[in-house]
Amino acid sequence: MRLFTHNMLSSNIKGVANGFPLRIEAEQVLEKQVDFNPDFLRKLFPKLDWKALVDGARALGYAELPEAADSSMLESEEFLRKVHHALLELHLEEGALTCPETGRKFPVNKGIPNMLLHEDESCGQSNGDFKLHGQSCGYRDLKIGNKCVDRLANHGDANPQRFSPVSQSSWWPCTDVCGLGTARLCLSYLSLS
Amino acid sequence: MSPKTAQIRLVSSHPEVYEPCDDSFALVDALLADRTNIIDHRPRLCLEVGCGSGYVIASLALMLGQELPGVYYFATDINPHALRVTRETLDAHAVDAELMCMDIASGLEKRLAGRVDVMVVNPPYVPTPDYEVGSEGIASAWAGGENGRSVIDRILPVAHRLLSDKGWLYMVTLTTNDPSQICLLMRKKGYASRIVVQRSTEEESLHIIKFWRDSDIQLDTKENVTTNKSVPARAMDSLVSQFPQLSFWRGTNSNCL
Repeated sequence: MRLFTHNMLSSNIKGVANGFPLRIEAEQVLEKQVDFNPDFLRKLFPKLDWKALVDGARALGYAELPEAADSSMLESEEFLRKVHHALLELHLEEGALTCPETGRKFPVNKGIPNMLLHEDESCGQSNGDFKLHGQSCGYRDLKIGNKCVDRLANHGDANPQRFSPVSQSSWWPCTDVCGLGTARLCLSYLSLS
Repeated sequence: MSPKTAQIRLVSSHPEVYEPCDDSFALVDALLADRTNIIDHRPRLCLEVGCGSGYVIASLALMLGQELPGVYYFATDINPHALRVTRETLDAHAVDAELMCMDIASGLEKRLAGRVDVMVVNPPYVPTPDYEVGSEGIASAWAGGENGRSVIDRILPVAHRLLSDKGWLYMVTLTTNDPSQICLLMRKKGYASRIVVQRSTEEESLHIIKFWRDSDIQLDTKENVTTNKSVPARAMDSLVSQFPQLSFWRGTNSNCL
């Protein structure tokens, strides 16, 4: 797993607000050379979370990146080569990623992070308005419609922290096209938080 | 020289991992058919959801590799065995992708939102009882729940979230999945669609559908979809008419295994 990937990964455990960046525990780090592509790096740079990259690189034993960076530094080949090395050539082969909020560890074996959640950790995933009238879309444990209200109400009683910002954002689609019932549902859902 | 795809003899395997089959070949054929368009499109990030044996992502990397160095490939699967097999398949073809074990793209949805230029999915589309969906091992590769739509219907909003403004989605569907309705769902979100490959085998009729954001599709808040070019009813007609055989082609519940 490259730090490029690490910069894109977040913990998706229910109740987690941000889940980013994941803390790296490295047991084995590999280096693999990749062709230097400054164009790619320049385009990628604005989307990177710099601090996550710096901390990640340090966790992999590479401390050459400056604490802060801005786009003016993209003119410097020396800087770009460091970013290139950190982002694309270092691989976390064995180790773990830790959720910054819950401390939950996601193992990394043979360079593959295992981000699978247990049943009780995963957010019910909203299909939002991806449905046509009269037809419900199947998804794991929540359904838009009356059933949804019941389930959310139950969850709210049992486990208030479920109503967290992350759940809210996963519910945004309901508000734009769904019928009033669904919109109301979202509002009552949010007001519980 | 014709563009390269992954070679079957180099594709690794495991008893719990779905081997390349008619659906995988149809998907790779669709990518090949659209290859020059993809190259002109100059994608930077490509993602396969449900990479299984790695045949498709390896093929994509091979067919784009020469013209488009510096494209990054991500692949996810819910089955940990599949990712190890995919790694071996990639290594055997000397191509690379970042592999992650997750449900659809659950760990990528926040940070990769709006950044995927090409997304490729051969979803579990076989109609099965709902309890089989997402089960461990190889069943997760085909078990699609009611009408084979359980996982597909969870993938569509994820695709909508991850695709960049110029992003393209290629997805395998079975006739039983009601592909025209999938296209309508995506149209409501502003996506045009086209069948790239249609293939009927003894057991199933497959469509590989390509979706892309179409600025001509205007969305309004009343759930009506209109286009600048034609009246809504006609747009729907032409969309549905892409599937002329729907009424009598019925997929079966069986899989090619």
